[in-house]
Amino acid sequence: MYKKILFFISFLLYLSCIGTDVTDDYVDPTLRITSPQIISIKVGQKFQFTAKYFDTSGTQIENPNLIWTVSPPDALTIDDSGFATATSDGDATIQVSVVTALGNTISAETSFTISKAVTVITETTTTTTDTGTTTTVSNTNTSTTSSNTSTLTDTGSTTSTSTTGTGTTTTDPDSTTNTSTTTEVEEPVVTETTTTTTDTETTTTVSNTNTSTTGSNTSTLTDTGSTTSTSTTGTGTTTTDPDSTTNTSTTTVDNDVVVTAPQSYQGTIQTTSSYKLTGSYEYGLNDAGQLVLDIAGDYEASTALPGLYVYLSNNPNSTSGSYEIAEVTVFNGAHSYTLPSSIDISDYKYILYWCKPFNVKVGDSTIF
Amino acid sequence: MQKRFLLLGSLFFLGITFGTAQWTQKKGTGYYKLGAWFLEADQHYTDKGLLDPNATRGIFVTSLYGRHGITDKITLVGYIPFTSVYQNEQTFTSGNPGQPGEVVNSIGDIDLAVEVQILKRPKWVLATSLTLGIPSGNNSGGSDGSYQTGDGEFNQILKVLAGTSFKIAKHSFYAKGSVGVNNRSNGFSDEIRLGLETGSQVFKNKFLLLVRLNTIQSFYNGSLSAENSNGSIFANNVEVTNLGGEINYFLTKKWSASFGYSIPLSGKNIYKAPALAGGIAYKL
Repeated sequence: MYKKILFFISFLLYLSCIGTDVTDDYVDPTLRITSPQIISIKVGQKFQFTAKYFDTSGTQIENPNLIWTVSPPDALTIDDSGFATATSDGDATIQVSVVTALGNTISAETSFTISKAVTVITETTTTTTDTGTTTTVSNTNTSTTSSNTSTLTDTGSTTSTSTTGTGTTTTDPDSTTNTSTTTEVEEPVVTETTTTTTDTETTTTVSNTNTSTTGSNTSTLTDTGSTTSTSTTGTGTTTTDPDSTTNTSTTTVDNDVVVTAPQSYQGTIQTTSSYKLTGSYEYGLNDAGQLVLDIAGDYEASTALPGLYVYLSNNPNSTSGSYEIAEVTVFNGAHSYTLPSSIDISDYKYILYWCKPFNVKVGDSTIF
Repeated sequence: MQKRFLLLGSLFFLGITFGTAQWTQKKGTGYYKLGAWFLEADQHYTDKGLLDPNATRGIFVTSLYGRHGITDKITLVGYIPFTSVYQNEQTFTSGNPGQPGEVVNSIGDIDLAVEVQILKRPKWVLATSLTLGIPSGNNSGGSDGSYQTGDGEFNQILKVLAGTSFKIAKHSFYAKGSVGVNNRSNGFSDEIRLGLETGSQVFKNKFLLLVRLNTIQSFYNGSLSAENSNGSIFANNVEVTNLGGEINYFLTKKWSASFGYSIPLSGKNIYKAPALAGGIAYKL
């Protein structure tokens, strides 16, 4: 009888051995462009594209062999690190690809517009005019000829002016008085002040030369610093007096790369179990620049859920490699979780609600 | 819920193997049993009574059970469980780090009871019992506190029991029924417990075959929830209806061996798994 008892107890003990649960955590490998999404970029500007590769378990692979390509090829230049320079305007697509461990190639791409660069030039031209005067030259003709020539040399102006006067010989042969009067209209002396604006790539110089003495002048901008030449013309007005000209020309330029980094995502948490779990949320940066998961007021979770935790993950079926945000202590209504600065908004694709004691997913949401 | 693991087994395998509708021991007599029961569950009933998966957890309980008549009408009952709770190692097909298996061994909640015979007639008997569930177990065991071998609260179960014997085609049967209320403390919901059992001795009285149907229903009057007690919620608002059978083989007039099997028919906040049990009993 004792052998029977021993056998029976041994059988029961055998049943209580710790076994192994195997969870299939396969997900399709993904390649994700994580740099801010560009709306537009200008010719000559540069941008650093980045991407992250996640394997079949949702684990990020460090330093993957990424291949960057551009379409059309002459739109940008891009190196192996994803550093690109816009070279011609038009629509463009950047594609990044990687070969997975299984030998398949997966890719991701982003499209945007390349536009011509424009420079802001604020040009002020000041023209100062030498006061025009009338110079009367008198000379005495000492010859007995009926005509004489007088030469005026005006050394007071920037431009020499000569004139010839004619006189009349009197009857007195011994004395001839010849008077000629010359009125000199002096050319305006232009003093220009040029303001030069420098774009992000090179220096653009604006030169303004007043080439006429008339009441208007023209300034010409030639932007040799960008890949696309831009010219503009300004006109000014010269007043008759007090002999000054002001010429101003203005050109607009935008030096910023226009990007639209996703600042927030909105979604809905849904149950993946028989427990009640629902609610909408917004995941993004708050006014202070902190990454926040804001759960809305329509959130509701069963209070029968024990050991409930919320995670950020790249695998919808596993918390391995995920970020544990917190244990859930709010089961109804709005609340929020502030995430550390080390987490970027594009680092994780899924929100998971996980019952730790059961080691089972209760609900989830795909962020993007 | 871990504590409610215990319900799945204890509901069935604490039963004494009487062949008649006798509820209390006679003075100086007794019944003592070394038993064990086991279950392993990879799914559970949710709070809505639906089935959800979970990491495989198991429990193995070795227990000492005894009842001794101090008078012809009063019987003292004691139950001391030694409990082993474990969870399987969690692994992933990718090979990523999972979670190692874990086991917690501890004495469980001890039950002490007194049974009083109220009425006894030739064909039926009426008795009552008061069971005190001593919180001697561990209600926060393991790495996350969920490996519980006790619920950490003081149960007081008051029962009324009735039994009868009858014959069908000249074959003797017995039937028992019980109604009990479990007054629970520390914010746990109170419970009502109902039980039915019938059985008969066969094969020249060498075997006793019996069938049991038990149920626990919650009054949902407790205050514990995941909001205020993440660990204790395992043991609150639990409901289960269990059907099982047991075979007892009388080795001698005093010694018997038993094997039992039960399955939950429905439940809430409790694991769903069949339970296996065995034991060696001595009748004094």
